[in-house]
Amino acid sequence: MVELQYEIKNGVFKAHINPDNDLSDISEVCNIVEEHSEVVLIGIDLYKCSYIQSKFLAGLVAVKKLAMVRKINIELLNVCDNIIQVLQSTNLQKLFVIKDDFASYPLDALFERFLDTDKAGTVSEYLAANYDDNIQNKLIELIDGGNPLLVEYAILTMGRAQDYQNLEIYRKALNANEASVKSAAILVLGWIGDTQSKEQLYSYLASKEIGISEAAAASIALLSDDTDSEKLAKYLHDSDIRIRLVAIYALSLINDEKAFEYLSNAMNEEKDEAVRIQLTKKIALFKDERVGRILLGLLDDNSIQLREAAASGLSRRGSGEFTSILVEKIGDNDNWVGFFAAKSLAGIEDENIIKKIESYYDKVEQNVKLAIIEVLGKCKGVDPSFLLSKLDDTNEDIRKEALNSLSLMHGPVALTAAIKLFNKDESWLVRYKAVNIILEQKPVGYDNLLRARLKDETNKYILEHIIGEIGE
Amino acid sequence: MLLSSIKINDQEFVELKDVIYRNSGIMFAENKKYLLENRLSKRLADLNFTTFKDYIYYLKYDIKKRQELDTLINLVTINETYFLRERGQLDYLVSNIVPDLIKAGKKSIKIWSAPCSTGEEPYSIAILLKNAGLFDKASIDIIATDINSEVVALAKKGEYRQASFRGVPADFMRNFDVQGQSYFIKDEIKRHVRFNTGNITTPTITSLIGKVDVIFCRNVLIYFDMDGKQRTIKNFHNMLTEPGYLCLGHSETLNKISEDFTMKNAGTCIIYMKKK
Repeated sequence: MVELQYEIKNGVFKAHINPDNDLSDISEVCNIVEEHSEVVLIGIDLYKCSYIQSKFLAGLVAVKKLAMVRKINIELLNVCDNIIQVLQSTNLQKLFVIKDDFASYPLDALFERFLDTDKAGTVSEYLAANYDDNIQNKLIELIDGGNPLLVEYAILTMGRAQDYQNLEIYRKALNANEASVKSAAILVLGWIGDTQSKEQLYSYLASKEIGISEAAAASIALLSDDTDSEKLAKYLHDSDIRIRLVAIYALSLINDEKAFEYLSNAMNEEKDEAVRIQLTKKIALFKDERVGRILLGLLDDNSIQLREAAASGLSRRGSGEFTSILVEKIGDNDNWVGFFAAKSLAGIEDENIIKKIESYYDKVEQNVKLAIIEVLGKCKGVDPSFLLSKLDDTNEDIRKEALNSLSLMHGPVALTAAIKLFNKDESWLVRYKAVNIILEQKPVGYDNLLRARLKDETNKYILEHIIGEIGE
Repeated sequence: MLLSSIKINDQEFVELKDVIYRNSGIMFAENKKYLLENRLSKRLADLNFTTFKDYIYYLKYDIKKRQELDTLINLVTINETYFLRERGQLDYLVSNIVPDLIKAGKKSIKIWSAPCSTGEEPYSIAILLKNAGLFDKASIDIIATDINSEVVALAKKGEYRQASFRGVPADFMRNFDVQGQSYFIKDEIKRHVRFNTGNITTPTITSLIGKVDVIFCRNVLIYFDMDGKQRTIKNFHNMLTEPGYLCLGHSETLNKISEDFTMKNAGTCIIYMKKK
């Protein structure tokens, strides 16, 4: 028998489960949590377990019930695929939030995660946040080992930790054969502010490896002084489209007045569609007051993709002084321009403009209708009757979006509608949204309302959602 | 590496994972949310979208929605792998399974790698079989299938980077031609592997591939829900000859999925055998 290992820190109870722990140990979790009123989160760490006994599952359910009674959260940490499969097959997975907790991992196991490109970034961030001499030494060992995947993330981790001490390692890695290692070194030199390397980084802008050229652009931007916009602007006239695109990227990251001038001038001269689209997207990221007018002018461009990029840029900036023009653009022949134009109108308070927006509804495609409904939820003083009328629409997304917009501006009206649709709507998307609104507003007896639905509900996502909330 | 990921909220996650599930059989569990964010953020940015909801509407209402659905499935089904991964089963195939089948009088042997991703697994099998001289003793057909048309195209091309070789022995590299940073699989290996596109969860896969003697299906069942796992394993059972061998990933099991196989502990690995 192995004694249950646990700790309580800052209101978090964490039990480190061993495969030999049995039902009595998990019962002990309940006893300990009951004794400690300060516990607000229970973590069950299964890092050491590649399997769990069925009795242990029963114990986990008991802990979940206790958590429900105490109204505290419970998380299963570091659950291996085998155990996830057992939880799935017993329909218990939905009861628990499942998370990684790297604090339980030995360093070598964390480094192995560098080989998983989807996880490597998160692990690297964790290691950088907890950086110490031990981690530093191990990372240097990895770099010496030469496995390019490990070397790449070792360098990135050291850079994230702002490790200036090993500057020579990063500089040396610029000569690596593997593109990913070279990119990592370039990025890190930018992060740690190594201005001495800047001239060398310019040589990588023309690299055939997109990762290298983008990394160089990002680092040059980080290391830039007053002279760099001008230097980069020369690349805007290069005959190679790829280099022009990288220069646009770098100038957008520098994001100063000079960079804006160069990019807006390039917009007037550039002929290639792909480059013009990129210029549009990047110009939209500048705060300069001229940006809105430039983007507005591009809404009449011949290129559909460019018009959409301009409209998207405007939607992120908000309509501002161009409100009346953007209202007209809702009816644009290109429905994605209409979509973004509608979205740019969030925050409008003028009743006449709101009526005008609503008037487009019957004349536009479904995606634009959805954007109109969405934006009405973000305007002030909208009469709910327009949105209420859409709750009977034949399109499930329209009903869902209308319900959402109602919830943003008319809580009680939305709740009544949500309760009705939760029980009657044929679309699970709408019912799922209704559950969310009920859970947000938590009216008296909401748990019984949700529980009552369990016997008739057929959609697995909604069942999981409700069960996860009420713990049945 | 440079792009910060766009966050997906709960409603968007459930809607998108349903789209993916209906079109691929792959079910993204809650703890794989990060994977969708990582893999799709660039695509959203390319399409000018800042939220996953807008992207979901694009998948539903754009004129090119069918094409975009293929792009989506390709982006989320890339399964990173490398040569000689989980080598125990590969060695057991070469030293036990194939010789046993030949001894039992089999003249023609079919090995199926599914999903094959970018081809490292089927080419590893081909290299090991060739090194063992087994292609001279029977007609061995290696079929490799993946749902992702882009990775199948890459596999057919047979071009790899150093990241695909993790701790492989030096002599293994003799099977590749090196050009700059690329390693090209030699034609003498390539010709033993036939690639195709298909979904292993659908019943039509059985007619696409036919009967096989050995199936490698590693590190993919974890992405299916229980129903998807059961359908897939049922397909495998129907496709396998007798004796039929099934190799799963080291962290995968048929426990609670199927009782139609017996588990064989082969020392360094686990192999499932079709029950008679």
